[in-house]
Amino acid sequence: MSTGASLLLRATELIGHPVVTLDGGDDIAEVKDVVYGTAQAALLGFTLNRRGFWGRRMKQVLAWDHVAALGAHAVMIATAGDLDDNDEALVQEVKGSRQRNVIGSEVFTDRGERLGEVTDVVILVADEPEVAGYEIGGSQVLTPRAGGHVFIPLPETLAVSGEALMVPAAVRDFVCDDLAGFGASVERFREHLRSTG
Amino acid sequence: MRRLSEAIGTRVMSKATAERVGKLERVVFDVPPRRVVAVQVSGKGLVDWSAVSGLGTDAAVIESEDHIRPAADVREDRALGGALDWKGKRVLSDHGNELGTVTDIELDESTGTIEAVETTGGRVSADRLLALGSYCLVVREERAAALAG
Repeated sequence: MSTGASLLLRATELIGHPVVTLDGGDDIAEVKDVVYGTAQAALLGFTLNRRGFWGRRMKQVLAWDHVAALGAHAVMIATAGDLDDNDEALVQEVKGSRQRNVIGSEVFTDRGERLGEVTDVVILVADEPEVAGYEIGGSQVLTPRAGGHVFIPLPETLAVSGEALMVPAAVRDFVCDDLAGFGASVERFREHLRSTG
Repeated sequence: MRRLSEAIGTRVMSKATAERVGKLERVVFDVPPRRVVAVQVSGKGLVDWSAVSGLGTDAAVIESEDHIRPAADVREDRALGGALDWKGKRVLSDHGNELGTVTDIELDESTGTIEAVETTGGRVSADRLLALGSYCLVVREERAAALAG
């Protein structure tokens, strides 16, 4: 996968994005919230509002598997039927994971160093969108600018709980302070993990 | 080739009576948008493309007024309500990226086939059109555009 063909998005940037059908060209919902499963370190899906300024919360949710594409301006789905309203398992998962929201979790290295708190989840949009890393705020150790935000790549596996994330100490060498350079940083980090076993 | 903006608003004439029936209000496309399936005569209703004998520079000619009919399904209802009007419509790629807005549509006036859509972001050939809806025109993203983006 070439980073040149990909796009990095903050998960919170997707909030308010229209959900548009590929077969109809209609905006049938908008993203209310991004549901992130800490246990899976993956995006589970989206809760939805109706379109418009007074858009009410919709009962239906959009499961990650039904997302056809995530773009800079819209979330694309194949057809209106891809919104789930009777998938009780998914709805419960969405509800449960909201109580364990990754945003605000503390990040520790496996050497016991606290890196900061998660302020956002960064999604790498390629052929298969995936979580690429986290935006960390309030970090005293990673950034010379007090309270500045930095990006850390997500290893392919890591330990998480409801309150904290555990990352390899090596992640410090792959911190990036701008989103533009972060894609390359993610690839180098994963390559590093693979080469060191 | 005829630009749709030049055809909209022209007189609609009846071939049977040589009378003016109204003016060309809008056109209805098939799904995915490939060609014109019907034209709307202002204040009257729809005429199937098969009953349109010509789309000239000065008039659209229909076989006769007897061919004017009401909307036959939900999609035609929405089209007549203006929800599917193309002018100024947002153009969104199937990757979820906005490419501009529609400025005109190029038609083969003899067959009603769409040749291309002109947008503020460039010309989009007809084979890339996926859907025309109330929110946007969905088009297939070009690989080159994806790489540049």
